[in-house]
Amino acid sequence: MRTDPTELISAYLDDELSPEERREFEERLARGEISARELEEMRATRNLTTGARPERFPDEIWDRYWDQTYPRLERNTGWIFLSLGAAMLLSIGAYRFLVSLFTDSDSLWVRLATAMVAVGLSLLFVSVLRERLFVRKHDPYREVKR
Amino acid sequence: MGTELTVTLESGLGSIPAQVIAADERAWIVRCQSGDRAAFEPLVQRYMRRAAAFALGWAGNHEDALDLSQEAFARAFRSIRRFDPERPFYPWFHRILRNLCINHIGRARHSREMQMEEGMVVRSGEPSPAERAERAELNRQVRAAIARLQPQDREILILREFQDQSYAEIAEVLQIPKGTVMSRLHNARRRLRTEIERSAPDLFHREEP
Repeated sequence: MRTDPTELISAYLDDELSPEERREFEERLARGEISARELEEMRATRNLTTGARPERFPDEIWDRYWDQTYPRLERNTGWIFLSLGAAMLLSIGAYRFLVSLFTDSDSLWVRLATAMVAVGLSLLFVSVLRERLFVRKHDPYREVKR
Repeated sequence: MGTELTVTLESGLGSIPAQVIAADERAWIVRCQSGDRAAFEPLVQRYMRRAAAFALGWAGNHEDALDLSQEAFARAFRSIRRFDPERPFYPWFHRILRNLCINHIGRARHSREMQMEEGMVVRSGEPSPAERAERAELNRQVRAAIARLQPQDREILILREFQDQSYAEIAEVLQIPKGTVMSRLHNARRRLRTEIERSAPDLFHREEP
């Protein structure tokens, strides 16, 4: 039997011990080597959580589950083409815009508008970044690999 | 069900006892990797209930849980070319689903309180409206306490308490030894008890409605 008896308490309550382990556990419990109080505390906690179990999904959901999932698979391909196409168009547009910005002498207003957009985007970026850093400090899920 | 193939997987904590993956599952995955979307259907059919039930433990309502589980399947299909068909599918898929669930609750915390459905409890008999209300409130407090735990604790409690999975099944899904399941679950329950005693101490002393 394992050396740490407290870890066996949950397994005992969940009926995960073999008959031999169970008998040995009960003997150790009777001898006071395992805390009866902790056993009862764990039993009460377990009763609360199993009682709070969410309601099952209605059966009819499963009939249309695949039909609802399939379009998402199709959309994957659509999103890939859309993203690639959009990225290409944006790159071409940005290139032409920059070329005209520095070659066209009538582009003063365009330059001004560009500068305003750049300043606005920078402010928004800094603001979002600061918020994310603040939230991250207090986020209990920060250690989770996404 | 086709022939079964036995493999031994290694975790960071030692060798996991022999695990069994179905050969038909492997065949479906190979077909999916060649772009056959229809081959993904039997995999979805096999695991949709398990996936949706797990997501429900995180999301707290049926609508979001279904959406999360379906999105996880879509993402799994998107990445299936990188998946090794010699390995069991569900543990890999479970990690995708788990990360989606964690991201979802992260977003929900920033935008709004999560919508927990009331009265989400399986019980026998016909309770009175007052009993139902009291039970719903009690369950809401328990689920809220679970939601405040660290992801690792929350995950193992959902698998065991809400999905009623055996230690062997949990070990397979999380790719950890059974002994680790035992200790993790016990520690999670301890921390849950501490959390309930802190936030709603009268829950342990309440009479059953």
